[in-house]
Amino acid sequence: MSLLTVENLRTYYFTEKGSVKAVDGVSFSVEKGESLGIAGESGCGKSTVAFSIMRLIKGGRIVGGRITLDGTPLLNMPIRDFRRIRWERISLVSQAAMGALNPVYRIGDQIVEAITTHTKSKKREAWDRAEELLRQVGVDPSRAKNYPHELSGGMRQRAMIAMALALSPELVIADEPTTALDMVTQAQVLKLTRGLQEELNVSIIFISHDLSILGQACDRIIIMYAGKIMEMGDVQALFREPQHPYTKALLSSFPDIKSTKRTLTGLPGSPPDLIDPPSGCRFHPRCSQAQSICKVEEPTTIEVLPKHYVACHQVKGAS
Amino acid sequence: METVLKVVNLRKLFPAKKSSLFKRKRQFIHAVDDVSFDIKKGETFGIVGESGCGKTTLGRLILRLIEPTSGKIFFKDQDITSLNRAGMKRLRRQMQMIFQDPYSSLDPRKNILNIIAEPLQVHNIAKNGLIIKEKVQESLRLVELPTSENFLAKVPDELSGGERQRVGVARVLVLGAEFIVADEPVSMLDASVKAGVTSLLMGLKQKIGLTYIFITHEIGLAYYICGRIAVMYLGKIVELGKAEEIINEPLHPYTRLLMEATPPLHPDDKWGKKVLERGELPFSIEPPSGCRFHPRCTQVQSICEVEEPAMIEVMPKHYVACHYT
Amino acid sequence: MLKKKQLVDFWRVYKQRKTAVFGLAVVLVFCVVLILAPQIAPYDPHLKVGAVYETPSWAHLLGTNDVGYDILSELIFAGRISVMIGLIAAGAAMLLGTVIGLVSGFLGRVVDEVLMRITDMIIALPRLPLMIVMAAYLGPGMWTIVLVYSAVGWPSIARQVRSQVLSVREFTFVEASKAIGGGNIHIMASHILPNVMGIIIANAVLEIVFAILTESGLSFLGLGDPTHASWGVMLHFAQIQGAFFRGIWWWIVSPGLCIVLISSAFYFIGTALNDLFGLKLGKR
Repeated sequence: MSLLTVENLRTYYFTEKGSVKAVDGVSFSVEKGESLGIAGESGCGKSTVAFSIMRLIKGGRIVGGRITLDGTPLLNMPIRDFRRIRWERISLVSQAAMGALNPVYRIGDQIVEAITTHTKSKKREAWDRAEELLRQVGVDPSRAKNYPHELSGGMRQRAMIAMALALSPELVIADEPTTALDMVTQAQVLKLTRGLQEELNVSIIFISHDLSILGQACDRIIIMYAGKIMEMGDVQALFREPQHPYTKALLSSFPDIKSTKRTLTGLPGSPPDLIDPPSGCRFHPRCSQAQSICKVEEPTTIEVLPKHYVACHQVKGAS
Repeated sequence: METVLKVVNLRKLFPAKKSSLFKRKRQFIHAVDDVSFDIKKGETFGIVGESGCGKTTLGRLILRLIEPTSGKIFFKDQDITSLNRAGMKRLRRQMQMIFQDPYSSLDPRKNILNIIAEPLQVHNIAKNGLIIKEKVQESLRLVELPTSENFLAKVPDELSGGERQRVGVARVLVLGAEFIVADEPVSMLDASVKAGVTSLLMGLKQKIGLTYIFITHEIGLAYYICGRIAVMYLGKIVELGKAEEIINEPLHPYTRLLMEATPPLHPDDKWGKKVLERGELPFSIEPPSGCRFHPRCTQVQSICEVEEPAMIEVMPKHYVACHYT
Repeated sequence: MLKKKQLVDFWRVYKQRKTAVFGLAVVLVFCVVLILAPQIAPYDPHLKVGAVYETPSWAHLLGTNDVGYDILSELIFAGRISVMIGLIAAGAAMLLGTVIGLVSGFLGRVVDEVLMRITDMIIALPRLPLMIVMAAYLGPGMWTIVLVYSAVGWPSIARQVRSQVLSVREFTFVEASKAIGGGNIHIMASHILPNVMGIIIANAVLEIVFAILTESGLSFLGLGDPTHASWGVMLHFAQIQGAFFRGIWWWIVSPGLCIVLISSAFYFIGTALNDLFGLKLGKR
């Protein structure tokens, strides 16, 4: 059984101008111990998926779908019970939200707080655990006495990861964990997450706009666009033989220093307005292979190769 | 090929605000520290480095948007280091900048016509409204944006990030500038949009004959579009030469570290194994003594802590600042 | 520069605030009445048209004052003075404060230091007593009040404008204008000013409130212009003639109520504008 399943998730934000269909029918699963990447450009809904799983949506609501953890449905659970899930079984590393560090408390104190809020540990025990966690993520345990501003960007990031691991969760969601880090630190953090995944057998959902990072840090990958999943599959297969026109375009937008130069193609236009999204396939206005059916009918997700799913009318293997 | 820009021993120090009134020695941040290079007409010269290396400051020094602390800047053989305001204003018709942030580089209270027409107004070229509009439309055509009345009347809020950057480029072209400093022009754009704006910039270079300084932290981008690059670290240039050479065969230990840390696009199990514990960019104001990179360098010798290395031509037109190479 | 769509959007959000709509309605009514004063007022305010201290009747809706003038007519014409002085005084303070705030915030360094120290000095002094002293020295009159008010009122506006300017200055389009070749004056007029307009307008409306209240207060104390009676002057005479003790309430309540009404109206409008423009600037 999968650790986490998401079925037909729909999350909308409500604004003056109308409802923004940020996530509109997304389904996927995460296995125990695997690292799943969610890739996409701004506005595609990847962060919204993360916040939906954590039930932290502000200014909007999860309007449909099911999320289960080890078979237990999460969305209807009373919030009091869900708080036990949050952080104990699923945690979040995010610059924008509860994973972020409070500047007025020491690092150690913040990790301790996470521990004591959820367990009956005494402060002393919790502090020891905090130091142990910091060691695990490659930070000198004595730094637990420091305030966030006394640490460098990379160390802060690692401290946030330590905080996320405090209660030994089964799933960690990392939302753009390496933006604003320099290249070397980014590489170190990526290596760290890989290492932790293997050591602790924890599952990771890794969200990023940067395909090259996801290529190194994930086992499987989902490509999102305008609130929907375009393609999903094993990371090696997807990079080698992308099926969806959007995936192909996205891949060819990234330069690669390890291969010979080619032209960087991109896509005309920009991601669509999600209050009034395009009819049929949401990608059709920018797709070079769009046909008349694409403008009218939304493609269903088909398994075109083993464990490799695509939502596109134009891909062989689709009906 | 003629030299368009020459920079000699350029230095920029910022006072560190943390110095108290009672300290005898005031502390400075060495944002740009003794930088020299020259640029030929038609080149795309890349300045590559991570945040804090001084590349953004360098870009602004070249256009004298910030005043250098010492050193000299020559534009087309003219010493512009201390050129007066009027002289600099005249020169600005030829040397321009494209900015990084599409959301703050356009005045939100002006429409597209006014934004692109501003250089014409500032330099008093063309008083006639019709002529101004024509020139603006010409610029818009060059950047592949619509020229309709409807579009000219739009405000920045109504445009996407990619469109805004194109407007920024149009603004720069309307005066016929030939030398352009592009400060991370695509780093804030989505991946699929980046490529479009980048190929626009390269296309324009061919079409009009532009010379670019391309400032970026994205090495892959520099690899694709730059002829020569200068790699910067903590205010100094550590390696200078052809982009392909440097990226495929980096000579300076920092450049080597940077190349190892950059992930390839395709999944690669072998990647990143050498990166390990190399520490992070220094946190303090005072730069390390001697060679700035020595605290993180695997090949550090005793001389590296004491003496700053000079730039040596290690291979034809390939310069490195390192005691060890 | 203002598009129709922007105005429509603005009105849509504005009318959600009931107080603001009420305020606008009140101001409009006052404007109509005051502009059409000669047509609307039943009598010439400077003519003895009745007995002294007549109680309100159909002939004199608000009765008469100590010399037999119709209070209602007096009230309407006095309104013109009150509001006019309020507008001019607020305008002068705004103009002075805006220019200083703009220059100080944009040019920075020495200019900023000097101007801000002067600002600090004036703000440190108590406003009302200072104005009273200045007005007493200059002698009663309309222009005294305008002068006194702007001299004492510009610093707080300057500070607010300056802080707005400081944040607008950090936007890249300012640097872009410099890179194009724009000089300081061009940048201040063409880029900074339009972007701080919102705050300026909102503050201007609130200044009007304070100006009207100040004028009323100073006039009540006798520092106003007796030949051009404002509501404050009316209250001053009412007080001198002992209306409070004699129970001649209509003479006191009518100007008092008008002052309160118009001040609240402008206040509601001003706070609404403040909210709206504050939101707009933060928008991305």
